[in-house]
Amino acid sequence: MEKRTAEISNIRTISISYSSIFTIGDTVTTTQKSRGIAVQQEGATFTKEDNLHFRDYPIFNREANWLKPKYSVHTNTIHHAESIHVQNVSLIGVSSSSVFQVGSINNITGDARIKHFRKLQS
Amino acid sequence: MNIEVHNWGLNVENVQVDNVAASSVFLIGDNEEMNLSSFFDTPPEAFTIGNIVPLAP
Repeated sequence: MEKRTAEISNIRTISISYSSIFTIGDTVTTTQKSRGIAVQQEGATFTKEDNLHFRDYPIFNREANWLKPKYSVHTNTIHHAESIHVQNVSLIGVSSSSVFQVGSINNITGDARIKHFRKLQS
Repeated sequence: MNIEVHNWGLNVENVQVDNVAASSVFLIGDNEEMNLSSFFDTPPEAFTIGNIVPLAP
């Protein structure tokens, strides 16, 4: 894959967290996996029993059904302009194994699983 | 199937994004293959009122 140079004048990001990546340049492959249990629970103090574990929920070890391309596609890319120009990017947060990149990247594989809980007291 | 792509200019003037989360990608540039899968689960028993233990895990 032909590469292009990235010319950037102004990028403002506030937080890049939980194994996320911010790249200016080229990457060959990224494989991203993120799992989350989001609990909204009413109450002041939480004990050990309130902890939830990934192993208790089948969603986290289910097989993802990746789509198989129906037919093979051969792409021939010709870059007439050598560079990528970026004036202003303002990005507040990149989180839970996400990627923000300016440049070229060949293969990306991403798998995200989120389970929500809302526990209110009567 | 053959595709021929001719790229002339890639100029980004101004982008504002709040959040990129959960194995997502924000890419300015080229890419060959992108496979993203996501599972999202909010079952009815996820919403419990009082100290009823949810039936299914």
